[in-house]
Amino acid sequence: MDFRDSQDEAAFRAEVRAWLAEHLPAGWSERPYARPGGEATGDGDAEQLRRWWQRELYDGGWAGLTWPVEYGGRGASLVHQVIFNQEAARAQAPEPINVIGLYMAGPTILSVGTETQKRRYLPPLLAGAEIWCQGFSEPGSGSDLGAARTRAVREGDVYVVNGQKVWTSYGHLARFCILLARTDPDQPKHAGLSYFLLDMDQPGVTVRPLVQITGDPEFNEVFFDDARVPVSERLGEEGDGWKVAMTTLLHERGTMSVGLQVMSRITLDRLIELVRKLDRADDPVVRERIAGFALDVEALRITNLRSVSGLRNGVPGPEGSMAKLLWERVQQGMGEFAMELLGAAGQVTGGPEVVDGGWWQYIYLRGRGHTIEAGTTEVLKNIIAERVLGLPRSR
Amino acid sequence: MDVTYSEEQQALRDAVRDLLADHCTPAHVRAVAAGPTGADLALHRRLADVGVLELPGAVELGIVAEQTGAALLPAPTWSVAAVALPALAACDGEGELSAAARRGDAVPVLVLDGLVPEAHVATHLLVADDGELGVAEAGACAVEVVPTMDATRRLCRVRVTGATTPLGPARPALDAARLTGAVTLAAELVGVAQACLDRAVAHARTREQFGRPIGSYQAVSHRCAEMFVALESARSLTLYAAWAVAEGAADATLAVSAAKAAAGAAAVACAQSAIQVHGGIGFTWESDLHLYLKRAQSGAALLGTPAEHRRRVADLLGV
Ligand SMILES: Cc1cc2nc3c(=O)[nH]c(=O)nc-3n(C[C@H](O)[C@H](O)[C@H](O)COP(=O)(O)OP(=O)(O)OC[C@H]3O[C@@H](n4cnc5c(N)ncnc54)[C@H](O)[C@@H]3O)c2cc1C
Repeated sequence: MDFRDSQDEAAFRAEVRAWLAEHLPAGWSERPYARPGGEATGDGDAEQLRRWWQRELYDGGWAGLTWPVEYGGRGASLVHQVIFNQEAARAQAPEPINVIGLYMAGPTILSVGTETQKRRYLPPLLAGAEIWCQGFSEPGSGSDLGAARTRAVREGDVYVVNGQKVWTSYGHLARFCILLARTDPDQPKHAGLSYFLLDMDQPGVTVRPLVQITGDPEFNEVFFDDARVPVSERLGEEGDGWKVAMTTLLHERGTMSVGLQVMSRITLDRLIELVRKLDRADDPVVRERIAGFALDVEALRITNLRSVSGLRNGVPGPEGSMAKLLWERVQQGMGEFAMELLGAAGQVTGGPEVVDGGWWQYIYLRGRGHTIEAGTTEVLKNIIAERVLGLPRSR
Repeated sequence: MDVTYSEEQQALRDAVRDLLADHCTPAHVRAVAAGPTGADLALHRRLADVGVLELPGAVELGIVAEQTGAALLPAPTWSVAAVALPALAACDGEGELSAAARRGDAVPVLVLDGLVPEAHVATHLLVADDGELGVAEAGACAVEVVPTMDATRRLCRVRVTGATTPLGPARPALDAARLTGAVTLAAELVGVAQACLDRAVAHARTREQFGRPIGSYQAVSHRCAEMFVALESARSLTLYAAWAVAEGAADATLAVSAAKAAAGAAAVACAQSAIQVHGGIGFTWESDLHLYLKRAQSGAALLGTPAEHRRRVADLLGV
């Protein structure tokens, strides 16, 4: 065991650091806090910034670090990805726009896709030229994803899709959707599902933005009205949709949290700055809370290292649920604590006296979604209890 | 000893609840909150018409506030009834301004802290200066609404630019306003928490996942039970504090801090939990839950945060 960088890793870290220093906009570290955006914020500037940043990353060869070279990646190890993320956090780099593509659709296509699919979809996905969304949840099935009712009926070379998805992040920006739909209504729940790569740019698809409690329209309702998806764009076999969807979810909770660590590190650093700014650094209660968050952020970092070392390019296990739980807890906790610290000043969201440009209210409010998206806290705890610890099923 | 509400008190509660059910629906709250002032003065007057501004003391104010909190009342009723009127009463007895305020004709607002709730719809501003409480016409003040999270209760910066008329010594006025204001705000927060619990329980009963109501999963039902415990503890502390203020009990200050700390924390926790129980729908602008969350946050922050009041409790306990 060795927690230090190998020689090669140290060289890689230096390269990343130098590249970031050169490519982040001038005065980046002194800028007013922009909304970091787990997602598109409906704020045109943030969206443009994140599109631009993804393109920079791609051109620099940093997008899809671990992906094979023939699909636009760099063929590096996950440890390199972790190093990249650590440096990105250090530089408080923005988040690329195509997170669903990078962390969910892409890895699933890499694991399950045909050669043609990989060549077609992966390079523009990495470049951010084609943004992806995830069409899993429906009004009647969120936690119980296996009960999805959107239908896909095969007619010759195409499937005709009818139904509705909801909470579809980036749906309003997306060119493609990873879609879970029912191909066989006679099979028991999970068995009748298939997984598709659906083109959003067609008349049968209607996207209606939904505003979140932050005031940002980040997610959407998506309606399918005789929408079409060619049989060639099914991912995996007909009836294998559940299995493929599980691959996506393991990536969402595992691979993604390797990236989410960046957000919690940045939040922690800014929280410490805030405490100093408010002149509360000597308060023992404040110190203890901050230390608690720092422990969680550090535990998250090391837990990610452990899973990455053990995994080396495979699909993450259900332990990824632990990382996601840890992340949502610390991220949400820091937002709550910032609101407590700020007190009445924490109510102010604009004008000359606003603290950090309203960033903390955003972190606080957006944080309420962290325990719901990508598997609710309760569902993730069930997964740990049942699949990791082997306790009896609750349902 | 009897710690239940009298028949009269129950009648007051029911009257306010009915009035708000008719005139302060969630749709109405949203419309007012989206409007230019974020305050419905006609509704404030309706409440005055049923006697809400002529209540005998903190217990009755609390009964009303619990209902206005649950309904997210977007009107300056708390600012007038629980902050300005007690201040006026403590310094000049019942003058003309008080009488006009009790009828709903005048809307006096006391400048107590830097961010002043609802000063932009005030007719008069009460300001402490050099140990004296003075009153200024709204026109003699520069009032600026500050952009804040909670759209149902706007906060302002106030600067007196014109003449003030002295009313009396400021100290007792400010003390009375802080005490009655804080305990009544605690009651409002209890109402917010109750409304959140009601919504969470209703959703947990009817929403099904995996073929069962989600309320049958202990992760959900225990969360609701935790909300109930936080809410009822806050209610107990608030009831006692209101009585202690009304009676001028020796431990009134301690009781109010305990109540405000518990109610602020309970309202925030219950609003957060209600969102969690609702899942995705709870995270939308369309759902009312974020209005409750933001009102809980602003109520918890005004007149002392839970942490500040807990520190005060420790001080008063002589820790
Ligand atoms: C910000 C955000 C972004 C999202 N983005 C996407 C997206 O891009 N694509 C997509 O497909 N979906 C997305 N979602 C949807 C998300 O995956 C679902 O909201 C989530 O799975 C919960 O489903 P639900 O909303 O139907 O709530 P429900 O499943 O109805 O859950 C309600 C409550 O019941 C609890 N519960 C349910 N079942 C159990 C059980 N068995 N045991 C214990 N408790 C239980 C839940 O934990 C929750 O507290 C997003 C959600 C949010 C908030």
